[in-house]
Amino acid sequence: MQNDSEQIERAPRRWTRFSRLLTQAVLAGLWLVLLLYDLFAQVWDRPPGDQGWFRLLAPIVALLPAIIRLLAIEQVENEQVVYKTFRNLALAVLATGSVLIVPTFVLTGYSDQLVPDGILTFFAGRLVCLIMLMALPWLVEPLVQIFRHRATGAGSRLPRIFVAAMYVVAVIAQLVPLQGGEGGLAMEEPLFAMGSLVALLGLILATRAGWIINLRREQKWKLVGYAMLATAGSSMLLAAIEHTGGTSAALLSFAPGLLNFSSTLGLALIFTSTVIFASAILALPTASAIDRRNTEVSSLANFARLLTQSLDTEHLVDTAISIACDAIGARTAWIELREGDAIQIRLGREPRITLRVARQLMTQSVGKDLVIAQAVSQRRRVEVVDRIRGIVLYKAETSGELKSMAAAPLQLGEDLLGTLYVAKDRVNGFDRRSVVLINALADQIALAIEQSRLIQSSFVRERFEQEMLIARDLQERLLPKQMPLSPFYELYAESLPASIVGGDYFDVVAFSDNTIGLLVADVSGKGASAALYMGMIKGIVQALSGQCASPKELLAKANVALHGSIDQRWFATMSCAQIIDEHRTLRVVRAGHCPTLVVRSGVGAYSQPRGLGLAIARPALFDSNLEIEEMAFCPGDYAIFFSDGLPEARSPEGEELGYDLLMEAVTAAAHQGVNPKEMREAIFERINAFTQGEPLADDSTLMILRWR
Amino acid sequence: MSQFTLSVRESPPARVIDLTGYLDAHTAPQLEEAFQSLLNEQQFNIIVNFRDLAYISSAGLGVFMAFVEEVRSNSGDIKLAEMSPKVYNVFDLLGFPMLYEIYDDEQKARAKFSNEGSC
Repeated sequence: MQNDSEQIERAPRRWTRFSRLLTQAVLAGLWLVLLLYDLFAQVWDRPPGDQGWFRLLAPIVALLPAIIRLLAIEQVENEQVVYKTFRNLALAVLATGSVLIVPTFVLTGYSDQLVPDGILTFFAGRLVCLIMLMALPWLVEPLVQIFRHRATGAGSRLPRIFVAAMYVVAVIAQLVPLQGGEGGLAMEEPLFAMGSLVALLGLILATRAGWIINLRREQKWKLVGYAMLATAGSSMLLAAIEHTGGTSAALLSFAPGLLNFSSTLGLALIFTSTVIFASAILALPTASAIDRRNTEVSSLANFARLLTQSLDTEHLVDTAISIACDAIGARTAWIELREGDAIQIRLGREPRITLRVARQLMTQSVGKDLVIAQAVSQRRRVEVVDRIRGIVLYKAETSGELKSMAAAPLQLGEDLLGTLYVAKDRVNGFDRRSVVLINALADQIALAIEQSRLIQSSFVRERFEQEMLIARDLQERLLPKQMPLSPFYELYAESLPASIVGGDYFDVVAFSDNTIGLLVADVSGKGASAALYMGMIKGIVQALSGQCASPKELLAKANVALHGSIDQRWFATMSCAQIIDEHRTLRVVRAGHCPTLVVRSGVGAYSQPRGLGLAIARPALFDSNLEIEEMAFCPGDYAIFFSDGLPEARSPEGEELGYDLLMEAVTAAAHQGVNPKEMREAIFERINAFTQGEPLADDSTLMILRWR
Repeated sequence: MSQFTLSVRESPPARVIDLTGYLDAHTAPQLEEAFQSLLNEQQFNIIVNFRDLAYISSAGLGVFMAFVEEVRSNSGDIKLAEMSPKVYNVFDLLGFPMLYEIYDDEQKARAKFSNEGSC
């Protein structure tokens, strides 16, 4: 704030300073010309009063730059600027008054020599004139600036009229020869009346001191001091020029207009200083309250800034607690946070109370059978306890006692995110104003908490997604990269998870007699849990296959390993086929898995030997129900293993593809004599036509063998 | 997609759970809760009526496996009744007919409980 306002002020400052110096230079130059002119007049023995045209022209020319400058004065918005302006004015007035009072006293001793045409009068008049002219810009400009402050509501015209009128009085006064000539004396009364009117205008303007209200407390105290200095200074100024002898005599003889102008200015200065003095004194009792209001506003502004900065909820809550404490002027504050059913009490970074004390305070009664914590969550408004029952001490300062408290709901719409509590060390500590403020703060805090929670959850989700992608990559690596090559058959296999990872897989194993086994499996459930079990089953099957001579033995042993070892709800299905190359034969077992689709001599059929799913039944029951089916094939025949994701593919209307349509697609493609990869394309073409491009809801695995 | 609903009714000597709609990973916990509360009430004669069930996933099948042992150890049983051919096919593929009694009529299941009780 401080830096901003200084920068704004700095831009026009150079011009201001230059134009003020210019004004003073012009005035000083004019004074020099006047002095020389009068000197020559003395030498040539002409009467010094005989310079009518010059008396008219001189003040106009002298004051012209000053008037131009005055018109250019910008309206001020910042009360800090006005404060500084008045401080400068007070010092300028004091300086001018002090400087003028000295010659006045000195000259008073020689009053008998101050004759109208005397040489002393002549020089004294010039000196006083110079001092006054040099001081004018320092006295008039600040005055106008003070009057033109926006907070005072003063229009831009009135202060200008005031100053312009002052100058008019001064100029007219130049025209009036006050000594000699009756007409001159006749002008004195209207001039005096005009001067009084201008002074009255000054008085009206002086009452516009609204800017004082917004000053800080210590600035108001200082302002009282400056106003006293300015009053003293302007009194000295008036005393100097209104004094019956000395300066006024000198000025009267030389520049009566300036005298008139100066006395008007002096009066205006006195009015202004007095009014500012009084206003500052009157503003002092409310200074603390105004300061508090300004603190409150800045707290809310701080909090708004915090909103955009804090991502961590706990950090945010702790900061909110300290801001609430400062803004409300509470001895302690804490926040009860709710997230689902979880309730957490946070006491802030430097807690003054213990958790136990906080709980004790939260059970303070606010009505019959209603404690403050319940009341806030039920009525959803700020609740106040004006006088805390029992003695509640702070933790740090055992002598301190908490005597009143308030609580506000942290809510967003219908959601209650928590409660803000504040406590003070005096009874009835919460007036209507604090209640409004607590409410406003609570709303801000609620908004900030919600925002930080949203950001947090998006972080968590992002990290989770990253990890799932890694899991997917790992799972893909668990699948065999290359299918065995054989002169008897060709193979194609793939597995597509429905979500990022899945529970389906296929594998190629080697039995103890080095025959190759193909297997397709489906683990119950979907997603991450299914993927974990899939990895485990793959490990078990790979470890067991080398010890087993047949697929039946392999599945029986796998069931022993799996049954009862995992969650009762969990099971897996698997088809396993042992390839007997030279006989073009498959030995197939099915542990609860989908049937195998075979196409022999162009005729499709499902092979579904008996068999229970893995981990469903005790080994004895499993083994006795596991049938092995041996099928012989001819070149060009197909055996297709798949998971239920394929027949259960759904149309947008919710219909399932079913086994019959699947077989239809396969046999149609088989008639074309397609290779396994082309068979896969044919199958998915059919599925996509059926689902109209919708992704499959379940994992889908496909393993296609074609005999050569 | 028809929504999953579940209701439990008394049909002495058993309790019947009626299922409708889709029983999958999302809805299976409801069925689990129903079984658990029957077990808490010491009700071990349970018939599950599948008449209006359109679909069952592996997660739905797992629920039966989770409770059958406890029920049977308390000399009760979970009997399944009135499955559509499609739902039956899912149970059949897995070999569930070897493990559970499956009836085409709820009445028959109830009668079986009555006979068991009288024995």
